[in-house]
Amino acid sequence: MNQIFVNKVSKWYGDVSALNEVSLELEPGVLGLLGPNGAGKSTLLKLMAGQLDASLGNITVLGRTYAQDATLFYDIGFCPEQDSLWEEFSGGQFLSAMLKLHGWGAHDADRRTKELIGLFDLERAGNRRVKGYSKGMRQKLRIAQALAHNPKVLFLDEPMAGLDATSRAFVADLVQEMGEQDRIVVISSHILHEVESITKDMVLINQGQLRARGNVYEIRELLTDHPLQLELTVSDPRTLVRVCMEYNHVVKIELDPTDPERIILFTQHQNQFFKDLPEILERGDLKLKSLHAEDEDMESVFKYLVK
Amino acid sequence: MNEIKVNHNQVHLAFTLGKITAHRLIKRHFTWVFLLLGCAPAMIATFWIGVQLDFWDAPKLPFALFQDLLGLYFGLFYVPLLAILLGQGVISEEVETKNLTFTLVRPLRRESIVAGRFLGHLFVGWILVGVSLVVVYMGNMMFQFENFFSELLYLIRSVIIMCFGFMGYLGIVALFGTLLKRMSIVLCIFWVLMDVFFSRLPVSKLQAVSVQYRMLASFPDGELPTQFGLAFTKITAAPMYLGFTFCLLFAATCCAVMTWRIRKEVILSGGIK
Repeated sequence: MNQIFVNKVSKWYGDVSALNEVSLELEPGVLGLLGPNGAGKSTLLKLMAGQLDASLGNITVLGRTYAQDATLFYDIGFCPEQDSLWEEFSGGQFLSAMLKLHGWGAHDADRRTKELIGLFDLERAGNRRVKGYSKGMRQKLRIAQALAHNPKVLFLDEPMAGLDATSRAFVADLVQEMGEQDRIVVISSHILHEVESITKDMVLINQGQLRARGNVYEIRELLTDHPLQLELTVSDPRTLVRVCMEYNHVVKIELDPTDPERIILFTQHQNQFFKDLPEILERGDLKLKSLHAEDEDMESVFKYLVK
Repeated sequence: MNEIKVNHNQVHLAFTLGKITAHRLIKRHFTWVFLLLGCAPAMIATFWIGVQLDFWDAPKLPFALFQDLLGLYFGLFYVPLLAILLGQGVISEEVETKNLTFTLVRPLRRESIVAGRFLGHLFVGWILVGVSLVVVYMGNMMFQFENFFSELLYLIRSVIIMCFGFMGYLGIVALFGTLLKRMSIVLCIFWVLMDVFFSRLPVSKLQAVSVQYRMLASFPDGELPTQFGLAFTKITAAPMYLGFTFCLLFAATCCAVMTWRIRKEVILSGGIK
């Protein structure tokens, strides 16, 4: 049963609600968990990784629950967000210790540690104390410990934080590869283009609530009640406003007080608007100087959703 | 990839965590400072012999000086202080630094985590206490070499008693640390003072909960280490196993409460399968 079920899960910290009735179903592949800081992403990851108990609802991972079966931890890997590591150890010792705590023998643990040190390009620092590692190296080590024991499920909380461009690309490839190997990988981030480059399957979360799920286009479709926002610069904005108001799919138009030639237009049907645009311009005898769709990328959809 | 042999036994995993914890502690400067602090009194004997200085009003033999150090330095100061500082690291320091996360995502039950962390600290504490006492004994008895071997049994008994005393102190300090976090050091110091005070009071119920009393009572009559002058009651010797059992139960109870606490707060898997 290679799935994760999150069933109406709520989590409170005292009086503060961190998650509110979140339901989710995960299958093998990579899922991006997106939301601004404090949205509840880390709480949801910790709940799924067995680090927290849900106040309400339940979570089943691979057909089991953490409360019933501690051996479930053999099958999961978790990369926490916080910048903590066992500072007394070298990178190699840390990874080896993590594997031994999974019940691996010393020989196997050391062999796997060498593999990981090589894979994550930590050879030169492998024998140095973690205390002296750079931020990027520390992050690599945290990711390495999460996947060291070849888990079936991997939870990565902001894994790209502190990594340089090369390392980001490497981690992105690694995560994609794991997703293709019939594993469930959940990656959280508030930097959207990073996740977008790894997976199209995303969950948007804000203020403890699941706002949408799907790829960027599907999410847009789900938001039929939220209009697409376009910025237009034209020769005569007032005429444009007058003409546009005759079209049903245009729901709102705002004049930009800082730029007399620019308007912000909200349409319910993006495709229909672009079909009608030549006609609108012709009817008003207008010259279009620029057009920018605010919602054309994930970033703007995300901003829009979390408002 | 070769077939990986994985040991699922919780006792094995708890001991592995204990070993790793001890390894981490040994790599800290703090541990070595405490070793030096433990061995430092050995120099007193050298100094005492060297200048024939009388520290305690009347001339003493090196063995009597060892008994002074045992009661006044190790029993009252070194062992409780070591427990207070090491005990903070059992759970609370790991929670505070968020390093416990790396242990919590491993397939260890909560009780195995507490047991492993406790054992690691206990082991290092025992090594420090044991090595320090042996070094101090040797430092003293080299100037009274004719009794070096005849008093070895006393040394062994002293090491065992100080070690189980450390276990009792470590248990309560680790528990306070887990329950109270930052305020725990203040409470631990207060509790150690009370513990010493209770051991001197002629109230059997207070003595019953005093680790210090159990330590002192485990020495046979006439072999008691030196104590502070103020004692309101005579300490009656009891079999050593009673003191050991008391401290073991004390520590085990503390570990059980810690397990319950982290099960509640930090969330542990740990369901019994």
